[in-house]
Amino acid sequence: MAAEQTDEDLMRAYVAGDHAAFQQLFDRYAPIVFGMTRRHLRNEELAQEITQQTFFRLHSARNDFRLDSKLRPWLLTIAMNLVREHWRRGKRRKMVELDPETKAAPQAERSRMELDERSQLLHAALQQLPESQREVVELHWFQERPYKEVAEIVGSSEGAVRVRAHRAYGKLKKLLKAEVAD
Amino acid sequence: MAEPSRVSEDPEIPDELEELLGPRGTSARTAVRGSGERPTARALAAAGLSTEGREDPEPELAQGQPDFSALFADLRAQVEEAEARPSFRLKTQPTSVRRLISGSVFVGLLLASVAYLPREDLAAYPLPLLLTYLGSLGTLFVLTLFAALKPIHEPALSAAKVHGLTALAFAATCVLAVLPPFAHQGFEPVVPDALFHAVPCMIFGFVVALPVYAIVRLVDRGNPLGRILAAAAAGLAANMILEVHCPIAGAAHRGLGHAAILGVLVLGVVIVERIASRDRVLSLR
Repeated sequence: MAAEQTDEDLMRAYVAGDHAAFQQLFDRYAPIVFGMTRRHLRNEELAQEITQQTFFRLHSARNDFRLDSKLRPWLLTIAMNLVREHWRRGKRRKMVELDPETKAAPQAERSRMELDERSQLLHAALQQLPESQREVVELHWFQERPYKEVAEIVGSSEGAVRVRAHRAYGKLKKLLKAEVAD
Repeated sequence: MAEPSRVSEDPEIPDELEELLGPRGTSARTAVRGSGERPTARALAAAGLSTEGREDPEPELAQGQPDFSALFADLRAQVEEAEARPSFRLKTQPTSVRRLISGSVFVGLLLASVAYLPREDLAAYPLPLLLTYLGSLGTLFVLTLFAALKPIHEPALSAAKVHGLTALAFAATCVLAVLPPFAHQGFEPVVPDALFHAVPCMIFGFVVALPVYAIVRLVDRGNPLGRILAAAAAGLAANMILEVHCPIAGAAHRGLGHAAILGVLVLGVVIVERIASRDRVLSLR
């Protein structure tokens, strides 16, 4: 079986005019971008829109892709810029019901409610972080990006990102411990 | 790809955080896990989690996720629609080309002004002084243009930096308008009415600023606050072109008829953007 193409191979193929490569890139990264933006915005519809826009902008910027570039930081930077732009425009929307369908069996329902409650706690804690710290946690913890790459994506030095991470994790620990204690 | 650091070795991550957040990279999955149960797709979705890259994707993971096929189909349609527009081709040019196109429009207008609409005393204008004026505003023009056309895969400039650069551009036009070496170059107005003489200059300034603003916006891929930077660049361009076109001296005239153009342009753009963005959903197109 042929080895799976790297992101960069696909991007190069796409820049050369291979439209199928664009779909492959979308298939690989759309769920990541969607999950990241939804976690930031708490709005499924908006997260979908930003996911689409991220790839639309990737398309418009494809001729800037250099041979030595890495795709993931590219894509995540575009997505983070869109999220920041959303916040800047003050279009923070009200938190939406993410799962209005509650037709599951009682046991599953109880379990799901517990899971939802826990996820709400996590989200509530994340929402209390400043945007600059939240995006670092998002990229470093949830996306598992190394500090160096996080710094590249958010446009700060690695040292500054480490400081933000240190503060953010410290605050998260405090908030989550308090919630658990309650 | 660099390996992510291990939590236990990362000095920025306090002890116990992993217990609270769950393992890095899968933390939210764990965080939403109740009593060690496997999380359902809905719980993962509720936590805003991606299921990408999981070793054992469950059929139920698709639940709570959008229909990515439909999203892609819609995206393809958007791309095809955009590709049909000639202006979109300009946006997709490499950034160096986009900057070159925008800069060329300004240089073309400046050269055309020198060739066809020069100030009557241009030959008498001390060259070092003219170069100082054009060099100062030209440097700011290049900075503003580069900021306005910053690649979107690079972190966007903060609002503070954008506003700072715009304020610097405006301050520079004002200072150069009233500084004696520049304000004394040219003829004193026959009628000592600064506003009367300022209006034609302002109109001329807007006329030459418009193509610069238009081309910067045309090649822009959607930079946040790009309109403000485009307006600032257009205002700087207008001031430089006016310097080789308008022979009228005097700080009041230069301040009102020349320097104010940048301020009015930026203010106009901000007002229009505020009005337009009230109900606007983020849209690139």
